[in-house]
Amino acid sequence: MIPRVAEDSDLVLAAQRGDVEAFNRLIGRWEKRIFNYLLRILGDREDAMDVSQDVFLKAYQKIRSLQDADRFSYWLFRIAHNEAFSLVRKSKPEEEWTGQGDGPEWSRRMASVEVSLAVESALARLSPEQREAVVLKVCQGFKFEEIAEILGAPVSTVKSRLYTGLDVLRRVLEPLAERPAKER
Amino acid sequence: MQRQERDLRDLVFGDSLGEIPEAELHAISDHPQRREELNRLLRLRESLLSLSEEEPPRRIVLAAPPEEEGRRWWNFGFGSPGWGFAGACALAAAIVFHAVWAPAGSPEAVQTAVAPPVHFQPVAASSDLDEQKIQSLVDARVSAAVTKVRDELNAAHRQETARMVHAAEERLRTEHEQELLQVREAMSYMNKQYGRQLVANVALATELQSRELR
Repeated sequence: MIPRVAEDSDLVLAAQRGDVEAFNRLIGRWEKRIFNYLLRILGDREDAMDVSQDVFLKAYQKIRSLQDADRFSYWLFRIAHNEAFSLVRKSKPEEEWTGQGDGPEWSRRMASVEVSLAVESALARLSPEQREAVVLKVCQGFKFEEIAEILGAPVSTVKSRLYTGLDVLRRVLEPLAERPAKER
Repeated sequence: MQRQERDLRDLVFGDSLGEIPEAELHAISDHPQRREELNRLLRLRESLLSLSEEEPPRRIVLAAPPEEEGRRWWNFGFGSPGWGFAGACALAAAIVFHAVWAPAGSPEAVQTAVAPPVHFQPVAASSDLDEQKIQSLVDARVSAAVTKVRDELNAAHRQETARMVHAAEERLRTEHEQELLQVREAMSYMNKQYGRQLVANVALATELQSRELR
């Protein structure tokens, strides 16, 4: 799944020795994935960008505590997960994240085609935990055990969140997928 | 023998993510309901994978030097944005020190420090001379320390400026690339819309023609 493990671990070791440039290279490699992961969880580009910065700053501050350099990606996503959910809890302490699909951030991405918009809108209907499981599994391509490590939860919990989320997505997306065929 | 059916969600979204073994596919295709269910899941997977990844709006570059335990005091004073203030304080302290301790004849004292005279002095005058010597030595050391600090501050300042310029250039380059990407995506979207419009127009024209013929 993670094709650059060896190179990343070299950079991690260099960063642990205090090489800032090595860490900047790690940022260059991972910032897009972390940003997109956060964007899907938080649903807001500015929040995702701010949290991305916090994630990399925290990662740099704690890089020496990372024992196994090969596990950098999971460790980094774990930090991102903690930061994202800290923000989710702060901004929405009691509410469920539902009905965000009509929000301006979800609908104004001009580059997306209709399907992408529909999927984004459907994703926004999931709870943050379900959405995170779907994003990590389908969009980021992690294995169940890796996701469990990132979330600090058992594999069974990860599967349950993923499958519940997928059921919701199916219910939302299937009528949309069938509509053009009927209209034709 | 009744084989236990696998959860289709595991097949489509499991760790092999869509790589369904041939044998399982054959088994599923024999059951219309399971085949339909599999198709739905595959469509869902396809839709989810159609989500494109976005470029971050800004690039993240770490600017802080590595924090080493033994150098923390240095970072606090000179490695951080506050180094200018700390440097100014050091310089001011050196000037005050110099003004308070330097006697009127300090230039000679400095000269003495550089090339101290080696000759016998009467006992009565030795106290003044020692003070003068000490003063000159202190002056020379303060001056050397100030010069050293100033040089280091200048070097750090130059390095920081170069880094900031580099970061700004990098950011501009990235923003430019992102803008190009957005334009390309917008063009692609417009082309698709245009294509749809064209198809609709052709269909309409055909319909009208057939009506006219009738």
